[in-house]
Amino acid sequence: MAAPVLRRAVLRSGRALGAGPGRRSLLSAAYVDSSKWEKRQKEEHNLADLAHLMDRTYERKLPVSSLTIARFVDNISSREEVDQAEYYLYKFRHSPNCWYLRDWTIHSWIRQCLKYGAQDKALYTLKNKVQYGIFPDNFTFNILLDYFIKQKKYEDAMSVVTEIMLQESFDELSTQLLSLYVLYQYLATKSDHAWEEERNLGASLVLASLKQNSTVGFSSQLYGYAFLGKVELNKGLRAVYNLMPLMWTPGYLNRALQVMEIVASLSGDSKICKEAIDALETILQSVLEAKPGPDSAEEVKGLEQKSQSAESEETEQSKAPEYYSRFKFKPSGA
Amino acid sequence: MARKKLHRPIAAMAKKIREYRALKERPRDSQRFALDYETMRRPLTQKRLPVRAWEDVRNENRLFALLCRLPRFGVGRTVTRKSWLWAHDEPCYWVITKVKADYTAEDMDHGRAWGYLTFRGKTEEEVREIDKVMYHDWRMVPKHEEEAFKKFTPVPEETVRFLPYPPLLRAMILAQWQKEGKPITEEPVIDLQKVLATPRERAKKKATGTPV
Repeated sequence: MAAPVLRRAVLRSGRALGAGPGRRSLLSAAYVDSSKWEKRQKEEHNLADLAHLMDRTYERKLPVSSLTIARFVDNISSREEVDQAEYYLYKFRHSPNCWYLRDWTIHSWIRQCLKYGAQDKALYTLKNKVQYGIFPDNFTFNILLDYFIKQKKYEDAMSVVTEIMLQESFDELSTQLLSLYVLYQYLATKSDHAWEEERNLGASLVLASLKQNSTVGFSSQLYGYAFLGKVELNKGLRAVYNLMPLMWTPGYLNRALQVMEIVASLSGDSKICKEAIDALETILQSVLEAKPGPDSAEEVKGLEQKSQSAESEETEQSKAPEYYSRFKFKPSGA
Repeated sequence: MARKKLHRPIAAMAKKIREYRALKERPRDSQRFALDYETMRRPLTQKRLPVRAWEDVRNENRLFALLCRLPRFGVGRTVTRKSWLWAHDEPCYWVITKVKADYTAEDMDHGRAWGYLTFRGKTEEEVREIDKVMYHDWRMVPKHEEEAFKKFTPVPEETVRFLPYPPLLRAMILAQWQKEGKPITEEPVIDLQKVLATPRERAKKKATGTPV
């Protein structure tokens, strides 16, 4: 999007991350400090022994204990062993005990990956969480996001935020703020997105800001709903909610307008940033312009079997002028 | 009968071994419920799915296709079925308590799950195994929408208590009352509570009626 007004207004302190040694980033140094974690009491095991034990157990088709894999991940000491641990994580996930993979194992796996410079490995296992069973908790997500923010790799951080969104673990305020920061930095760098990216961006913006009642929160909700409404009108409702933590009731642009109405009715200081409103306006206008084109196509399509999906698209398209009129009414009134 | 049963130890042992091997090599959930999406056939039995399910199979997901993406396989989350969403207005959902995934599946796409069922607003108190897990029919309720989804105000059911008699019986009862000299002021009605409470005793005493 054009003007990074939102970014500057909210994230003034975060703009110069990692510039000077005295400069503080979003998370304090004590948060990501790993000295306490290094000092924790670990069981010393030989990795070769553990690997041999696990291989034997898998050969005999017996279940491997989750403690074995935990010990393996704890005792990683070099980059090659990170690869071996990844293999054993895969095997554990495809064993009868896959449900019992512990939280601390996942946490120490991510920590070890970051310690030995294997962040691409961590990201790969996180993206294929179905195959590796990596479901980090809030603390681990914060550390991972902070690592990528400090390295200014916003695409990788964006994929981490997508994973947080798919797991719906935006419980802590720190996670929400970090992910919103990453989202806006990513939006500032790239303006052209494929529809899947837009859908992920929209869902992450909405979920990250649902519990916040501030300017940032409401603007992000509006922005997210605008993106989702655009995907809904272009690709259909099913493309929005399939395999995503979103509701299957149609009307995402309606929800965007409801956010605006809520903000207008609140007596506090929270407002919505112009950037989000501009985004909504461009989307509504593009929808209205595209409307005369698909009209004839929709008449033909209405006779086919896909009457259900065509109906919802038709009602949304027909509601678009109504949305636009409500939208125009809002900024003038509020 | 004719003669004593022969004791065949080797055949008994062979039977046991066959049963053991059948148990060890039984087709797992992932093999039984795998599906070829182009021909809509199960590879194991070569049977085709019913035609009305084809559209759902293309559009929706199995339960474990949703659960495998969640931490701890979605224990504690709410899931619904699309067929329930379309059929009933009241909320129908399962709250998952225990999951046993089929580890032979490549994408952890199959397994068994247990939970509490809430059907049409009424929640059950016992954990049951989730039925029709392999149907392509499931949807996950997002956490922020769970409360709104589960909200339900039960409408009190209208129960009927008094029913009129059928006309011939009514005429017979009125004729009986007239014969006995009872003043006819009200209609003879069936009291359903009495009828349904004690069916056995009602069968014993039968009132007399006058043929009309």
